[in-house]
Amino acid sequence: MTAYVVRRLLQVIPTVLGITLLLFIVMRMSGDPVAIYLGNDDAVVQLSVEQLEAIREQLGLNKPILLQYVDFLFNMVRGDFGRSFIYQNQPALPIVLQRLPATALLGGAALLIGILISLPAGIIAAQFRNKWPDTVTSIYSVAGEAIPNFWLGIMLILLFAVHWQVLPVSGVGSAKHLILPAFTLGTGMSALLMRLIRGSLLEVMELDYIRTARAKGLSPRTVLFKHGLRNAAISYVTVLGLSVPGMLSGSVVTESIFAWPGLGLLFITAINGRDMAVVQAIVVFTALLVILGNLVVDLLYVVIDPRISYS
Amino acid sequence: MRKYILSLAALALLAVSQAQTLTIAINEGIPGFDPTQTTRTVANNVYPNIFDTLLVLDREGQIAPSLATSWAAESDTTWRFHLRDDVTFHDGEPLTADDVKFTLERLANTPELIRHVLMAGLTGVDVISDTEILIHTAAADPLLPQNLATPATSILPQHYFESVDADTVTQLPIGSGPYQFVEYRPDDRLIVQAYEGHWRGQPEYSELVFRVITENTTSVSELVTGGVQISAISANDLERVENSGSARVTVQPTNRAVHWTFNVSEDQVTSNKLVRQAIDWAIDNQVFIDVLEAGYGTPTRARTGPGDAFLPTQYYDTYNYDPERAIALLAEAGYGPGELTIVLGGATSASDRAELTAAMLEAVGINADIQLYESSVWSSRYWTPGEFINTAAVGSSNSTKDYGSTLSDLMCPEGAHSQRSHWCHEEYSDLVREANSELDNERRAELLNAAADILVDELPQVYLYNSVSFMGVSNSVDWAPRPDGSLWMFDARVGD
Repeated sequence: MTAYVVRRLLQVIPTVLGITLLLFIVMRMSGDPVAIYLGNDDAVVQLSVEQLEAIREQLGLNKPILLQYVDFLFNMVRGDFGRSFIYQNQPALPIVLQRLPATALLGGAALLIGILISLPAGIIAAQFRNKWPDTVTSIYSVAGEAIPNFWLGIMLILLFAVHWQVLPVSGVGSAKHLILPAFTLGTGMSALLMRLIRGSLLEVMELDYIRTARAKGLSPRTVLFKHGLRNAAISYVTVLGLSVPGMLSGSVVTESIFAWPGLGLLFITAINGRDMAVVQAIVVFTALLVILGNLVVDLLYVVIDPRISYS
Repeated sequence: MRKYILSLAALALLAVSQAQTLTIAINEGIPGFDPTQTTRTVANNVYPNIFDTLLVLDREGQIAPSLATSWAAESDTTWRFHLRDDVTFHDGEPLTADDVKFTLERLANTPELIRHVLMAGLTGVDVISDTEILIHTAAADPLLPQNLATPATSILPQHYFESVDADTVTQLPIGSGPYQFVEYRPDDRLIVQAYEGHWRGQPEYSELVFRVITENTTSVSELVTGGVQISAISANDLERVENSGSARVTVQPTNRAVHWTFNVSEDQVTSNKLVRQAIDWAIDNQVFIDVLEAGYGTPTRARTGPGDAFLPTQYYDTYNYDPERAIALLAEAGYGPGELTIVLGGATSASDRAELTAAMLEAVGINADIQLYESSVWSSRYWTPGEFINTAAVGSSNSTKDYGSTLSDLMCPEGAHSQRSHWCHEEYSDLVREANSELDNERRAELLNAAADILVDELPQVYLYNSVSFMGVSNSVDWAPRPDGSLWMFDARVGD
């Protein structure tokens, strides 16, 4: 088991190398960041060629790309992702880390909502297959996946914050501020998870060992929760585990609508401004989250299903 | 009874404390607090609350005293400034001539600073006394007073810059403005508090909160529910704000001119002046205002707009539109109906402008090929010299509020827009160059008018209209937006 974990952790190195190389090439193919930054058409900015060169030199953009990449790798190992072009030459990593708590809070709350809705609703839907509770949850599931976050977010604001004025419109500061954005972000996830648990549960409940459990005279509750749900949970946990990095790396749409100061907002600002240091820091951070998320899911399989072993 | 009085007193206190905080929505975060290091509009609009400049632009766009009480050109290359003697930074240290020298020479001698260009012509500052300086420039510089009124030349504390590192300066600013920095929570809010020692006295609002709200519909929702008291709004939301009963719409003309820039390289059809003129006559400027700006805005043939000194008013609030004449010009250029195709390039945000223009061009027999890009890709294409085909959707404003400064970026060979469009007109460049080193205002106006005449004849750019900015202001606040867009809140009052 330990050997497996170590092996998986070592796989992080080539993965991060591959991701950063791809990122480097794509970012540099998509335009000169200095030109993009100065292309703010609302301010007539006239910089001399010498000045542009001075700025490029300061950012290390005048070196050959391979050298820039090697520099980046060496610095990254030391936790130095370079300095931000947009954020007045401040180090990139603290800029990213400053936004992390807000995103983690929103992502965590959304996940919780996703689980709290999907688990009971999915079980009820499976238990009452083709009856009205199943129909109701199916409608919720389709709607939850079909409705875009920006529309749902705006509608929730108009109803709860503008019309009834029971919740704040946007921003951070109290538990009340968290409700609308977390619900917006959690709804889509709950719809997906609900369909998953319903499908898996229906499949599992048809299997022979469930019939045996019933024949043994176990109570329906024990059959469902101890034997059924545990086996149906594999796909649920897989999708849940893969969703965690997505939630922690920020949601551009939800964060914009609710003025939530998280990573998603930062990411889009950095990409639009080709703020390479910040983009690189976010991408590496997200990649690490995805890799770790996968690893945790794989390890959880052992806990859920005793038949799985990595030894 | 006692309970009742206490409750009333508590309510009154609550009302006062609420009245003292003014919350303003801004649509992007502040990248940092070194005014020399950003061109971001929002940051430059917020800085004047924290930092003072030597001079300021008043509501009429005229240069007025601020830290400098008087100023005059002693010769073509020397200016004498007298400074206030009662100014302190937010840490209590006095602001003296040494700080002014430090600030201006730092900007002049550090090309890596984004706003270096504003002081690039400065050769040195002599400190005569704590309240008197001489500023020396390499050549005559009539734009110096305007440049000293922009936030980028805010006077910075030398002692602070020399005692802490650059990151601290950027994150924990010390200025001498009417409000002192309290806290900035990135992408959430900036909090500033009235500085008791400010030489102008005390503002009515003791605390300002600038909340970062990037989504327009959200900031309007905050405005109508009282979450913020001031917010920029789009033309789509005018009715919503007006009907809210809690806020009003204010309309402020800006000097931003929306236009098409031509690539006039020899291999482009737009190198032919007759083609450019035909396009100018084919475009009905008023339609853009009616369709895109809810009827607000002014058609123009000038490069920027109201608020700019030396604006050629004969080209403001007027435009060319005559499809028949456009067709005749095309025939003269050798193009019959359907024989000429023009590429209209721009960011995706310019799609409405491109489609309206395409319809107008097609009405006179020009085929239009719209090519739009994601904004940063487009920006990169435009700012790489000669990378766009035929036309580029651009907008121009100018924070220095001087028409001569505006025209300089079409000078050849050094002008930023000239390099992109390849438009190189020797006479025009000489006129602007001379104007921008002419201290006599009358002569300067003559030279800039002559340059403006060349622009409307040569048409390296076709100007469409001057846009307006809409601000939603809560009825609880007495404040009007300024022509320069600055969110200067010293004069904000509690409304009736």
